[in-house]
Amino acid sequence: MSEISIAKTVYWQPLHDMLDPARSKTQTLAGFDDEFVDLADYILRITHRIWEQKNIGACYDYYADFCPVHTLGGYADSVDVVIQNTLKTIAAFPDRSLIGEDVIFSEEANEVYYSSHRITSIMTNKGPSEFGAPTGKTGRVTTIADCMCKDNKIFYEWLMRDNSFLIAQLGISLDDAAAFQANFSLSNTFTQWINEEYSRTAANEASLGDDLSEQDKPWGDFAKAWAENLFNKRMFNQLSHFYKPNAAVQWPGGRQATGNAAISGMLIKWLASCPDANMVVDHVCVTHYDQNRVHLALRWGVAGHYNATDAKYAQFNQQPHYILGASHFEIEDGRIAREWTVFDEVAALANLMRKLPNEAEA
Amino acid sequence: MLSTIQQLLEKRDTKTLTDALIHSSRWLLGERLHYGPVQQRGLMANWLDIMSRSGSIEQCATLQSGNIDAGLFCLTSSSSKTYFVTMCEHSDGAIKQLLQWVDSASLAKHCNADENEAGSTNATSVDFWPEPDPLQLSEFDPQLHQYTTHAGISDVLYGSLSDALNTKLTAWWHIWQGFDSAGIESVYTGESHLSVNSTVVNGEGTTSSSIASWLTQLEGKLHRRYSQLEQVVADNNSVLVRWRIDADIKTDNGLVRVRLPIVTMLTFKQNKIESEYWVIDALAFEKRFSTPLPF
Repeated sequence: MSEISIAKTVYWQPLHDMLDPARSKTQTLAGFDDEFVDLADYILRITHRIWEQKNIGACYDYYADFCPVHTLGGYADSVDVVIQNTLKTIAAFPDRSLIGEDVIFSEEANEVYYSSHRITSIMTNKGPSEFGAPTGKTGRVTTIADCMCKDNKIFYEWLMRDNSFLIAQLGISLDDAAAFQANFSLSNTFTQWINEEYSRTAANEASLGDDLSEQDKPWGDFAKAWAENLFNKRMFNQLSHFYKPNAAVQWPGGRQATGNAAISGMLIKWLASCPDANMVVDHVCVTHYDQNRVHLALRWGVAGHYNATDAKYAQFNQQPHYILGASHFEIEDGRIAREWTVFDEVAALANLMRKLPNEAEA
Repeated sequence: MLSTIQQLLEKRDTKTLTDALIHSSRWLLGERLHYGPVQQRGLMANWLDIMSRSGSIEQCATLQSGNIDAGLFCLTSSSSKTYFVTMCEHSDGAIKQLLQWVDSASLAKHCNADENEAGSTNATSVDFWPEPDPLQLSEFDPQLHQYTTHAGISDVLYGSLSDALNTKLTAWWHIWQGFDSAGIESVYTGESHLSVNSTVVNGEGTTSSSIASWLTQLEGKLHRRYSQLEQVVADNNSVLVRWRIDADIKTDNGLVRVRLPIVTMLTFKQNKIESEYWVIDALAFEKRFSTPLPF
């Protein structure tokens, strides 16, 4: 089975097929357990085992002992902490489902596989969480988890979750959730990381090389041009080069725009909160759905100085501001038809409250 | 795959629909996307509850194009008619997306008729109607600038439509997007049925200027209005159009920016519109913006 039909299979996959794939093995997956037929299967099945079967200890099987996990709100690097965090999240949201929407992946040098997994979760807040006391309410949230995998284990991860959309459904204000998080102590590793990421992104230095195949290099160029022309040069008259006339875009906190006029308004308003923002695309991977449809996964950073578009946040004006984000594009006939962009606005506001990143130490 | 919904509504068959839903199926109702078996079972239970209070259900129009099926249904009771549209994206018996838009204001009257007899006076809401998904709207330039790309029918058309009907549908879109009042006569006849939810705008018993009046009302009450096509699915003489209006409306608290999702099912006959049904979810709008529809 070709990569084309793997993407389509994931899109239409019933649960029984996800748990016991009917497709034959098409990727070598050196060092991985024989049961996995391709990387999408590996990611979907281990996610189901850990989260939905509540086999949290399976993290020991599927995470390296030392595995840096970056989020905009914290840092962990040991499998024990990954397990503890998973346990706490399930205790706070006991019915959390992890519905795999897409797995966009690439095979990189040295038998490393890179996966960008977009997940929809439905979850009821029954216990104390990273946002405060339980509300008893149910919400939906989109997560994009970018993982580097080798020898059957995830050894590096970036996790982006649309927490502002979730808390809006839980009945928690952005201010309250961010203030609650701002009280958490952070490791020196996190502080160093966010300072360095801010500095690197502001200097327009991408963190990874370009590992795309010759066939997919044009999509890497597309992703970089999207960032450069729309975000860095603010040339919104070029939106139609990137988006179909009825492109549907989902951004954090319930921002939904369809069509160039609305997308333009959404991007302008968001960039106004960081008007000197610079975006760097740090990773791109590509899967082919069919002849006319390609799925792209981008991981990116934005760095600049905060400028409140809401007067209540004016106290943070001119503070350094950093966003770790990810976008999934479904591209049809060369232009984006659907986009999901995910970053954590709760953590971003909490970091402003903590005065992170710190430009002097960056 | 519309039959799965029909079997649910007419035969209380939850199994056929459940079997067709896959792990990542999404179900839109009340402008909220639902996922997973718990939420899906809840929606089925709501529909069965609605049907237990209904006289009959009629399928008024259907279309099928590629892997998309859509139908316009009407729930009829002695006192009311409730239109709703169901659209599904499917493949090999599996449903990926099930999208429903309901004239929820009529549904509320319909569902509350029994309860009113029992003493309740709340006839404008439905207890189980979903809370819509959070929505943040951004301001944008609503002008149809010549050098800005605005979606037209041909840009978003999915399915087969003759050139003549494509031209008519394009003229229809100019009326509603571009306030082209003069174009009404080229698309509609005096007999063309046009209803917005349960209100008949044009057809039997209406005046020849009624469509123009409705257009003027839209333009007058939705300030800085921008209409955006989302999806157009065509099947010979039937067309489903998903579109939305972003606009400012006047409320007691001043101007409020709103979004109004609309689904329109059209049928054509002899190159003119034979019937046109707009379905707008008034309860979802009111829950989302804390103000009723302005018309």
